[in-house]
Amino acid sequence: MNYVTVQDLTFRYTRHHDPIIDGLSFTMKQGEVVGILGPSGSGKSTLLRLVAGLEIPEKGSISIDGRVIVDNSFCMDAEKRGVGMVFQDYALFPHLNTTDNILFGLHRLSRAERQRRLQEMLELVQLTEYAKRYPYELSGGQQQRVALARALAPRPSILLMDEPFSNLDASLKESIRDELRELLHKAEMTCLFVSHDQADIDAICDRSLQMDNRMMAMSGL
Amino acid sequence: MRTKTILRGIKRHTNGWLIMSLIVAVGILLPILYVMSSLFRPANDNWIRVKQYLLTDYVIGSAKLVILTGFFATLIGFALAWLVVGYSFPLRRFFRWALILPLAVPPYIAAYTYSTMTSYTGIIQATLRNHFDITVPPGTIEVMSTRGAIFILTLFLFPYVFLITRTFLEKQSASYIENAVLLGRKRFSLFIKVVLPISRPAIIAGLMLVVFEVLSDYGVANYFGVQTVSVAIFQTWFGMYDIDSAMRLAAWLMIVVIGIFVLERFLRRNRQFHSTTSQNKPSKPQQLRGAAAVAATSLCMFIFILAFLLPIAQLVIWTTWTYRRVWGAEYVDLIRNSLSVATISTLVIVLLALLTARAGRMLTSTLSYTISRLMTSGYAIPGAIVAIGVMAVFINLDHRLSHFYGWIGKGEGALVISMSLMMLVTGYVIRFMATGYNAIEAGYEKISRSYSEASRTLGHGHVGTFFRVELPLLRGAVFTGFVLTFVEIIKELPLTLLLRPFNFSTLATRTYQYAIDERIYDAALPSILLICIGLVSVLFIHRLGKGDIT
Repeated sequence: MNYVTVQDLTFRYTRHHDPIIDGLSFTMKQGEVVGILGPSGSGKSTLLRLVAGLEIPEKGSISIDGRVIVDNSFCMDAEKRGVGMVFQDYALFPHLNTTDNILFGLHRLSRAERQRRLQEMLELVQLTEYAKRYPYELSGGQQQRVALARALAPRPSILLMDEPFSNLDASLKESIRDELRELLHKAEMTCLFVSHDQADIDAICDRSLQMDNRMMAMSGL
Repeated sequence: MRTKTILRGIKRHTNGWLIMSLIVAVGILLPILYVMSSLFRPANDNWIRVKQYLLTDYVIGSAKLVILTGFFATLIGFALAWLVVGYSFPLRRFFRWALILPLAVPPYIAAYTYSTMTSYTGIIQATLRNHFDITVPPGTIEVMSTRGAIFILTLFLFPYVFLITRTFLEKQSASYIENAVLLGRKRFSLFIKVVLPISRPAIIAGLMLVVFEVLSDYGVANYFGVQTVSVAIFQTWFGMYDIDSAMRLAAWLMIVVIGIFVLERFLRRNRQFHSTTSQNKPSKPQQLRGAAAVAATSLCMFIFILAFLLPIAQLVIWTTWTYRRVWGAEYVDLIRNSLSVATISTLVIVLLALLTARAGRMLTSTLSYTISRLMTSGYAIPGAIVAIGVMAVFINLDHRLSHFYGWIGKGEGALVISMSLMMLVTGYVIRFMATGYNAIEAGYEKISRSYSEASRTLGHGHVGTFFRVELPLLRGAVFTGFVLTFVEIIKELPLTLLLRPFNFSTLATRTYQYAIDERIYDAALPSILLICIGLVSVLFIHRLGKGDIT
């Protein structure tokens, strides 16, 4: 049973340009971590934005867990999709501390549940001591973990990660890669992971998609 | 299938934000379109007379004022900007900000101050006569003329050019100048070959502000008896009670404003230099010594004294003569009127600006660009045009509501909304939307879009995202927009004179009334109050430039 189905997805930023994604189709199983590789400008981030509902495709459809989230006649709003996203720059709200950043997506839970989930998340990413710190008081690696905790907290149906290592030191990267792989498997997350670095993908993902400019191919398993 | 996809797109983009901001844009544009439409209605006899005997004089008067003030203000503003950026001399750091202070003085206040100071009994002639035994022949120092109006407008508007070009030179020029020096350019040829050409967009931006201010001016020209189109609009309205002809004049003035806009685009074509360097450090100024240093300091001091110190000192002296007599319960009312109407208008502006800036962020770039242009068009439109348009639309509304008024017992044909403060507030909102909108839009541009996107993927809709993420991050920009708009409104004269309800006076209109009634000394107190309020805004702009406020 396919958990995520993307069919014939086509997108262009303006009418005068060629499509940046042209007739893309692929499927994902539940709990699978799929890497997306490709040079810059090949539409990797755009694919994540289409899944998140931040852009609308020209044609094609996406469904997650049996639910159509976008097709040619319907487009679900981003806030209703239940999709988690870790942005390239993390986009941690600068006016909120770690706790409030993580609580941000838990507004639909009861107070007690919210607190429980917060503790779970802080423990998962090992940031309990940093709960009251503001983003600017955290290191790059810590910020990344807050972003991850914030995205995972509302239990999204899929996690989207856009170049999460691009702001980190090379030395930090290796330890964080392993940490992330373990975290994703512990949480049994279905995840689309964008990177331009083959080594990231090899370390974290079960398989990968190769995106070239306007061309789509599948590789791996 | 295709229609379904189009419908999907429309549905996704059509939301409260867009609809509201379109309504706001139309509301802002309506009075201006109404003014323009007067060109297509048949003219009355009065207009034919105005056109035959007076129009040429008005146009020549306005053109003279605009061209000469524009020229001198640019010359002084840019020369002083280059002086304080490119050279080091005594008091340079002081002049760097002191030379923007004249912006705090409304030109109409400067006009009557100078005309009184230079009159036969004024301080200048009296001192010469009593202490030096020099009697100046009548007419030698005569500011009550076109020359005088140019003198006043130049002195009190040149800081626009100074401020914009100075900021530009400090931020942009360092590496270009250093490179040119390394390439063996001498200072003068450096100025002609490098500084002047790269500054062109900034110079034109500053010049445009001066031009729009001059076209909008009523106080100075009217006080000095210079016939300009803005003055003529007042005269045909208040003198001849001919609102149709006033509207026609306003429409022609509007065409001139549009023409200037087009000219600006043309002058700046291909000249929007995108600097390829992100280096922000100012260039090291060249040290001036000896006579050159004295000359530079003296020049700056001379302009500073003329454009700020002298009129302020005179006003303070007059205030000490009259404040006991003038100050009274009436002032509390005046200040309350000024503050309350400015607060209401500014709140409306800030709310609408937030709404439309938010909507603009969600739309395609072309559509949001169009909306933001429409929203901000008011700043270029002289107050008199806005006033006529608003007045005409409100009177029209009153006529349409006539039956309703009869029904609620006010009597048919009553003027209800066109006699209310609502009209003045609407005028302010249209005229000063640009000030608030630009500040808030600039604030929005500094907030990364990914914050809003993150909020949406975390399950918050547009409204939730706005209140929980964007508004807290916009606090500084909202505050800046509020202060700048508020001060502009407090100082505004022509719009207030035309749109205020019967018996409603503000500090600005009372000051002007005193001046017109030749009670110059009595006008000093409200003038000083207005200048103090203006100083708040000028110092705010100065701090903004230093990056203290975001």
